[in-house]
Amino acid sequence: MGLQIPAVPAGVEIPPEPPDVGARALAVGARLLAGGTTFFFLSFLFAYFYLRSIDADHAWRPKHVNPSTGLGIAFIVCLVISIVLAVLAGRGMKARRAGWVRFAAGAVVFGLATVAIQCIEYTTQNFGPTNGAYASVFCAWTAFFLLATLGAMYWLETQVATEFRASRSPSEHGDIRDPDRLIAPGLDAAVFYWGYLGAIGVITYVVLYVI
Amino acid sequence: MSTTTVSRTPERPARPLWRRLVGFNLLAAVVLGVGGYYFGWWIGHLVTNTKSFEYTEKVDENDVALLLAYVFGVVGFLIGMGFANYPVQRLLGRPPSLREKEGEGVSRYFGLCTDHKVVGIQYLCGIGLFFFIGGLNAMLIRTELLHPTPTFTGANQYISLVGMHGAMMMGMMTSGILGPFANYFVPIMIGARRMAFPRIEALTFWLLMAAGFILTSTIFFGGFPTGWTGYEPLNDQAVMGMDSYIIFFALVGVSMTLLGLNMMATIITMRAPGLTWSRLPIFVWATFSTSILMVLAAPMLIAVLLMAALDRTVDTTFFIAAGGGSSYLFENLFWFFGHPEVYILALPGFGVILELLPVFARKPLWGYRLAIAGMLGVTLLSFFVWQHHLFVSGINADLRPFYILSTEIISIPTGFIFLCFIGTLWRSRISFTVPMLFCLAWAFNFLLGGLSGVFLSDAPTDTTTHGSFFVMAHFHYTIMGGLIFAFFAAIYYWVPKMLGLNFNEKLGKVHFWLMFIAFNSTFLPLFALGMEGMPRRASFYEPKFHTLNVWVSVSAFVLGFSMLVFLFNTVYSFIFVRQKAAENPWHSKSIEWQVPTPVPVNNFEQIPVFDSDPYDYGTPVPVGAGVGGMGGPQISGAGG
Amino acid sequence: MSSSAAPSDASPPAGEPPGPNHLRRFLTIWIVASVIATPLVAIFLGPILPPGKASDVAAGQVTDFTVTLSLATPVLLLVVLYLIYAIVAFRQPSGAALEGPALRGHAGLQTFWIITSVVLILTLATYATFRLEQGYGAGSGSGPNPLTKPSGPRLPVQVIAQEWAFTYRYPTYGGVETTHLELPVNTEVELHVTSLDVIHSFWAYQLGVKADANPNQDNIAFVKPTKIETFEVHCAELCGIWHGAMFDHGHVVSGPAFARWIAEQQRFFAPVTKQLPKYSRTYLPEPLRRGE
Repeated sequence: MGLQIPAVPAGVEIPPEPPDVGARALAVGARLLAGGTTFFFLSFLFAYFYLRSIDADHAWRPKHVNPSTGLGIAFIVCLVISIVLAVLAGRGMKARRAGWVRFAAGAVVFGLATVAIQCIEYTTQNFGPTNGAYASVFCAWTAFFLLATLGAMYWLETQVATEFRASRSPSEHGDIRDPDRLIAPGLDAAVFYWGYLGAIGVITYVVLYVI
Repeated sequence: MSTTTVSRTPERPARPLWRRLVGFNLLAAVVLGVGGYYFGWWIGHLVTNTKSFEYTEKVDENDVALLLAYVFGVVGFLIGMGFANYPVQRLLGRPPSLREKEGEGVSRYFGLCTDHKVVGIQYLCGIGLFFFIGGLNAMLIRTELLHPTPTFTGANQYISLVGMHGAMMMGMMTSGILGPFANYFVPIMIGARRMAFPRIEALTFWLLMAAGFILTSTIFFGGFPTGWTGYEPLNDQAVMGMDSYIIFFALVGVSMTLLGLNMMATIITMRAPGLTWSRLPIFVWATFSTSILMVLAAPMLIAVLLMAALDRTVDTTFFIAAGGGSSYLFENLFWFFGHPEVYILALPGFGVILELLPVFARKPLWGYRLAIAGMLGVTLLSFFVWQHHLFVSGINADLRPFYILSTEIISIPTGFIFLCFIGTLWRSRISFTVPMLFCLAWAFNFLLGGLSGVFLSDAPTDTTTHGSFFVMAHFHYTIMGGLIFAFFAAIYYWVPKMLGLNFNEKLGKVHFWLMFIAFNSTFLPLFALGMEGMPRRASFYEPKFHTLNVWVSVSAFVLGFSMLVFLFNTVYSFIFVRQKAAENPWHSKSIEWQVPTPVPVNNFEQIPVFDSDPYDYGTPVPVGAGVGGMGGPQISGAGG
Repeated sequence: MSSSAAPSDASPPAGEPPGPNHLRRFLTIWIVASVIATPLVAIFLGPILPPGKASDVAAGQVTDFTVTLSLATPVLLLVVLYLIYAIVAFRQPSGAALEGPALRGHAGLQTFWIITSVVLILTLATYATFRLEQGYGAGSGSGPNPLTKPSGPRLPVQVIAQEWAFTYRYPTYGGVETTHLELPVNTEVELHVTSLDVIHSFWAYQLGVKADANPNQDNIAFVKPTKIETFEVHCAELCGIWHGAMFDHGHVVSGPAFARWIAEQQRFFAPVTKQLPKYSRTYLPEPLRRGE
């Protein structure tokens, strides 16, 4: 084919970027992602109140449809612990206290615990997604919250893993000059997002289990 | 200080072919995609082979299997492309990095490449491909409508065509300007070397390509009967092809969310020194406004489609009244996304037109701050109007006056854009280049589209016009007459910089005139048809509409032919003639025209420092001199 | 990024007469055109606008179309005439590279435009709301609790939509369900539109009525037919593969003719009426199953 695509000139050099550019991007990106996540879960919040208000065919919530209170409490407790640990990790990292990474690892563990608890709930609860509108909203909302939690845990884990590796063997310059300096803003962004998602989780719990 | 070299040194011997084919590339992506598809299909059948899913065995309609097949297919495709490599590396604690495959010649256009310029060209070609597929669907629709009763399409085929055309266009063209042109030029316009998240950049493109492929595959599963709006409960009732639509639009939603997020992060954090918000090119402002809508509205689309998928598979009852659900839930959630969606389509058009006008009018952009106010006003208000799609659907009657008002009000910021257009042309020196012709046509088309919207926003007149061909004409005038004309303006304007080659100007003008005349000839009569009582999405119509429909179909064929003229121009100019473009053929003062062609991989030798906006055209006017008899304070000179 | 534009070619050299007063010219053209066109639109185009005057709500819509079109005409002319004027008057002479004046805005004009558009829009929105409620929904489906209802006796007719036909039930005539719609002239009709399966939309074009049919929802529209004629009924919401074939013709007939017709229908459908479910504002058939 005779089409000439501009090729990269040989030997061109792109200077490695100072890490504060990426740091700003991470901070803004985390907040934007939080905004998008809010609107995603807003759909389920709207569905809950709308369907509850119309109670079509009296099928909003048949009498037997009740999620387990115990597992619900376990869920919210693990969630709150995870958020608290994440915030402590963030603060500890800013204050340059060694050992913040243990708080972060703990946050990941408790976050994964909420996922496990919800999965146990699914297998033991006495209703399924077909049992009316409340059950539909419950199963869908919690399922997608699980997936979001897994994503947030992945994000936190990458910061923990990077810190573990970097403390043993510092990173060399690549596209980014001194990339280990991105761990701090990376953790900051991940903690922000997880804290925000956790707040959504608290609302989830209140709406679905409490009221 | 060490530097990163991105090109291969010439001394290394070329690797054998088989060695070059193995790796994370398009071939691997296709192989893993197909593998993932069959894996998902198998898992789906495994999971549903239980008593509670008996009906799927009886009727051979396994939505679970198809949905899982698509999901695993897309995951396999992305893994094969190499998108999982970096996340896995980060999971293991490797340090972050920015660039992948930026120096490997032509093959980098067919894989994961983090160079935003490569992504821009990928988008242009990919969206172009699906635009033509959607256009082909439209030609088939108009062929069917040559006769008042169905002739060559079956009932299911016709509405599937209608749905495929609508969904393809709405899904693809939302990224129609942001994808190619914002990706390519926004970093350059703000004086940056890259986008904020280069891999996510590349991901949005490949997600969109996978989505388009999935939508076209609906024909193998019986198509879908709901049109692009996917209304429940028909959605729930539909055959397996509906799942293609659901996955398609969900992927488009993810792509849009990430694209918007990336654009906003880039514009907020990566502007060069001196580039204050009031010096940004208007195109960047339009990108920014659109991105706000993308990040906030697209997730709601994803949510509502996931609910629809759950209704279709595990029998939740979000939308089934007999199970506690409501069809209104779908309508509300869908249109809460759907209305910002149409502004996602319109705003980039505004940005392109206002960006190009100063160049070809040789005057600064008039009313820069007003234009920004218009765009941001549209962005904000677009969240408050969605129920105008539901005026006759039986919503609570108390709500309608509010939505009449809010929908009317949104025409005020839209009017600002027109005032800026008018002001920029005032006493200008217009050169009738092909991009400028498209800009002028945009004004006419979007005017008709916008004014016809008034008849839809007023509920009394909406009673007759809703669900008729009047609505069709309205949105084709705003979306096709607005966005697509701006899309072509952008193509003729910016492709000489992107590819370093010129279009043939005469062919461009033939394309323009054919397209403009045929477009108006096709869609203007539809206003009349709608008002005379022809409902949309129907392959039967009253015999009295026959002549007008024939006229419209023939005009549509001419419109399709004009696209072939464009294609011919592309092939002729870029493969055969290959006339090198000047570095700044339009004598634009914008920064993207001050860099060499082709744009170097690092965009700039040194990051530029800005001290004004890019609209420094025109001869200075003495303050207070008055404009054609109008006195009063004026704002002239360089922006600050 | 600053550069000073070369001033040499832009303004006419000293001593030459100034250019034409574009503003005065254009405003004259626009005002004259608007003054001519708007009354023409209102007087000649208005009365023939759809959907015709076969019912009170349809006639109301014709008025609303006329008013809106008349208000839109000057706006349309402003932009279209301006485009033509600009293309003719503000050209780059061939081969030249002149620049226009570096005008970036005009506070007065912008303010004027904002105020005018706000006034125009608020007028339109107020007018539309007023006409909507004055017209008892102007023929549109107003949900189960319309804001305003016509006073006096009303004939209730239930429109039942299903894939892919409309049927019509007359609760005050023994709940008989017919396959065609006939209405007595000069009688206020209260239409109750509902669906048995998916979303449809009942559009009686000449009557100026459009109301969506949703499952488990009663959508009420009011209309008073004023002419004896045949009207088209179409489904206006995509409802499946035979959506396009979901059309019918209804009739507006005189009072006595209607009485004869409905009595005939009651007699003809008597065995069927016995088996129908009791008249209700909505009906909830079994949940949909795919493939059946």
